[in-house]
Amino acid sequence: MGHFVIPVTGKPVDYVAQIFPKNNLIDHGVIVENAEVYRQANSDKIKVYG
Amino acid sequence: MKNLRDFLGIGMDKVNVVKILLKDKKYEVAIEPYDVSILTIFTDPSFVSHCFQFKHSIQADQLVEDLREIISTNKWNDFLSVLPAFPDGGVQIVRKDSKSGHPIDKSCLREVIAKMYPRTNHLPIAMFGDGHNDIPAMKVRNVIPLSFANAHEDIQEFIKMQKGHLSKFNAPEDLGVVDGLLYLAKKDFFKKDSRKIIDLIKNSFPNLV
Repeated sequence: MGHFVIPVTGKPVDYVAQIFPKNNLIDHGVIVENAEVYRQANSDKIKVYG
Repeated sequence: MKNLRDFLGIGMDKVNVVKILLKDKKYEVAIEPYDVSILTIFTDPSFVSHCFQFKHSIQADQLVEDLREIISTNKWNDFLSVLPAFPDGGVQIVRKDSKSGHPIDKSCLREVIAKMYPRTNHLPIAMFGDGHNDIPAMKVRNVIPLSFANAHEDIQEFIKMQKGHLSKFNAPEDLGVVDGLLYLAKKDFFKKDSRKIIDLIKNSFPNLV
């Protein structure tokens, strides 16, 4: 699979949208709102965990 | 969450600068507008003045205490949990997992990654963090915790206790992250790529290695 960078934050999903282009990283998804919400790689769909 | 928001007088629709009702008294705070599942309340305008202008009318610790009392009194303990206040005066209310009864926080890191990547198992995970809300993720079994010289003191203590990696550099402005990657590479975290990563860092940051 390789090595993935996945932002994990307490902030909402919109706050991390720029992380990938700004740091020239591949979008492997994000975990936000303290892990209650996540978005899979290259997807616009936000999912609620639990 | 809806019941709590109704109780505070903000319903599901009021965000940004609002007045919340606690024990018959109103306090001016800011509500994070983009939250989907949790509720984030900012109490200290000095930290969020770039987004919100309001009066500092309640201390974050007091808000945490009052919210916990409201949740307990209304018997919402099975559904909601209030995290300790953040150093910037932010307070977050999170849901509890209906099966385990535990608050859904970063301690669910491995389970959430399993949802994101269902065909993987037992992935090696390293967690960089600088805030106390990162500690639950760092407590997850087999997660390697890494932090920086400018991290919150709670996390620095935790890293020392857990024998993780506490960089002598700051992050993100300084070399804290690069130093952490070097630590991981030296521990062979990246397997076949570890040597390449050490060499890359050595060439790019000769003073670090």
